[in-house]
Amino acid sequence: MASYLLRRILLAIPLLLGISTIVFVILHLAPGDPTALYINPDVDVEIQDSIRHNLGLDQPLHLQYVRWLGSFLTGRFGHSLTQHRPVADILASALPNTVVLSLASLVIMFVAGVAVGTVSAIRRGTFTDHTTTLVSLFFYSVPTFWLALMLILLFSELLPILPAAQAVSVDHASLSLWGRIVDRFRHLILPSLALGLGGAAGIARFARGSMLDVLGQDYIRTARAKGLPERSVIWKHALRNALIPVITLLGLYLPFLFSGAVLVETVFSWPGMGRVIVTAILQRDYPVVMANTFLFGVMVILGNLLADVLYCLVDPRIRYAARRA
Amino acid sequence: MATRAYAMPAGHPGAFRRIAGSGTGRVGLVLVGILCVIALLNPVLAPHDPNEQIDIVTNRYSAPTSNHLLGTDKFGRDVLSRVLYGARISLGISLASVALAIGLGTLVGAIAGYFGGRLDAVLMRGVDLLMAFPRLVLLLVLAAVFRPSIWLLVVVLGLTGWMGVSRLVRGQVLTLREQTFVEAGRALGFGHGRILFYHILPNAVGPIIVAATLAMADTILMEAGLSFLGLGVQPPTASWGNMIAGGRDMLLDAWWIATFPGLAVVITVISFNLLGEGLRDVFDPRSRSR
Repeated sequence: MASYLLRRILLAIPLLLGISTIVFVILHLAPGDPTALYINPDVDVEIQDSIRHNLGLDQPLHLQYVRWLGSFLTGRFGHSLTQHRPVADILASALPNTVVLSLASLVIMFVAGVAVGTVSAIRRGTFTDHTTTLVSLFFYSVPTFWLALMLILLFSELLPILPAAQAVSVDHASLSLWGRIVDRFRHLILPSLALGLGGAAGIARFARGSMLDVLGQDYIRTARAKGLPERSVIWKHALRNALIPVITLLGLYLPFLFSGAVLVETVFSWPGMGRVIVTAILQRDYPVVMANTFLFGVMVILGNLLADVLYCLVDPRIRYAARRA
Repeated sequence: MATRAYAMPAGHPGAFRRIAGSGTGRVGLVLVGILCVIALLNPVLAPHDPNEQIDIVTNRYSAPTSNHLLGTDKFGRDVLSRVLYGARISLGISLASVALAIGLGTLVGAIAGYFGGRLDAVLMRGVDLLMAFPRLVLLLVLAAVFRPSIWLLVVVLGLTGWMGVSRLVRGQVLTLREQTFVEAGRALGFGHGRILFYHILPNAVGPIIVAATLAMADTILMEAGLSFLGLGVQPPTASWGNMIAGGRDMLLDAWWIATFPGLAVVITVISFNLLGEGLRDVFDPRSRSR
C-alpha cells in the first residue's frame, strides 16, 4: 500500500505544476495592464514605471513565470494590489474558514446521503422510496445560492432562529469558551446545509443504486439463508460493501463542492476563499486571484489523494492489486 | 471491458417512442418541450415587456396580484414576464455552450481514444489538469479577464464544460475501435478520418446525447451562478441568476423577486435531468433495473 500511495503522491506533483502553469497562462492572456486601475494617470511616467518594476510586471514573461513557480514553492504569493498586505496572509485567514465549511458540508453529504439512499434501497418501490427519490431530485437540481437565500428567508428572517451572515457574531470575542463554540456552530448550520444538501441528494441517488446492486448479490442471499437477522445482513454484509464505491465520490465531488462554496460564501458573507476570490476578481486584484485559484486546485488534488487513501483502506482488493503491480 | 451492448446505429428506429415510453423520460420530454415553447413564444406569452418600468413609484415591489401574477421588482418590472424571458436567455446560452462543449469534448476524446499512445496520454493529462479546478472558479477567472457579453459567456461555459465528455467519448472509442467492423473498414483501405467519423462515432451517439442532456442541466446552474455573481448576463437583460441577485436586498419584504426565478431554474434543471435519465434508460439498458 505504501508504494501505491507513494506513486499517487508522485503523480500529484506534475498535476500541481500543471495547474500553476494554467493559472499563470490564463491571467497573462488578460488584455491590458493590471496596474491601469490603481495608478492615477496624472502620476509621472517614471513613477508609474517604477511601480510596475516593483510588481515585476516589466520583466519578460518567462522570468515572471519562473518567479510565479518560485512563489508557489515558497508559499509567498506576493502582495495584494488592493488590500496592501501579503497574499499569503489573506489566504491564511480565509483557508481555515473554507475548510471548516467544506468539511461540515461533506459530513452532511455523506451521512444524510448514505442514510437516505440506504433506506430507499431497502424500501424499494414503496411510498418512502418514491418520496425520497422526488425530494432528492429537487435538491439535486437546486442552485446552491438560491437554496442559501431560501434558507435565510425561512430560518433567519421568517423564523429568526439562526444567523444569516459571517462566521461568528459581532460580540464573539467577549463570549465564554463554550459560548464561542456554540456561536461558531450556529453560524455554520445554514451555510453548510446550503452547500451540502445538493451533494447529499446526489450521493443518496448513487448510494441507493449501489445498495440495490449489493442486495442482489449471492452472498446476501447466503447470509439471509443461514438465518442471520435482517439488521445484521443490512449493516454488516450489505452496507459495508455498498459504501466502497460511494467513497470514490468524495474525490469527484470536491470540485463541485468548491464551486458551490464560492456562491454560498458570497451569500452568507462567509470569510473564506470563495468570497476572497469573488472580491479579488471584481477588483482585478490578480495576485490574489492567481494564488486563490491555485490553492483551490491544490485542495482538489489533495482531496483526491485522500479519497485514494480511504479507498485503499476500505477495500483490500485495491491493496492486493497495488502490491502485485 | 468486453464488447458493449449498445452498438446500435444512430437514428435507431423507435428510439423516440422508447424515450416517451419510460416514465421519467416522458415527464422530462414533456417538460423540456414546454420550456422550449416558452422560450420561443416569449413575446406572445409574457403579459408585459420584461424591461418595461410601469410607473416605478406606485408599482415597485408590488406583491403578486391579478395584473402581476408573480409581483414586480424594485424597478416595477413584471417578474412573470422576466422569468419567461429568462427562459430564452438561459436555454439559448446553455444550448450554444453545450453544443460547443460536446463538439470539443467529442473531438478530443475521439482523437485520444482512436490514436492512443503518447497523444492519448498528453491529451488525457491535460483533461485531468483542467478537471482539478472547480468549474466556477475557472469561469470566474475567464469571465473577469474579458469584457462580459453573452457570447463570451457561451464561449467560457463551452471551454470549461468539455472535459467530462472527452473522457466519456474516449472510453467509447477505445472499445469500439477493437470491433470487427472497424477492422473491416481498415481492410477496405478507409482513412482514419472516415473510420473515426463515419464508423466509430455514430455508434457512440447514444451516450453522447445522454451526456449532452445532463450537461444542459449543469450549464443552466453554472450560468445562473455566474449571473448571480454579476459576471454573467448583465442587467437589464433578464436572466434567472441576475434576477435572484436583484431580490437579495429585499428578501423578506419582496420574497417573490428572488423566489420565482429560482423555482424556474429548479424546474428547468429537473426537466433536463429527467430527460437525461430517460435517455440513459433507452441507450444503456443495463441501468434500467434501478
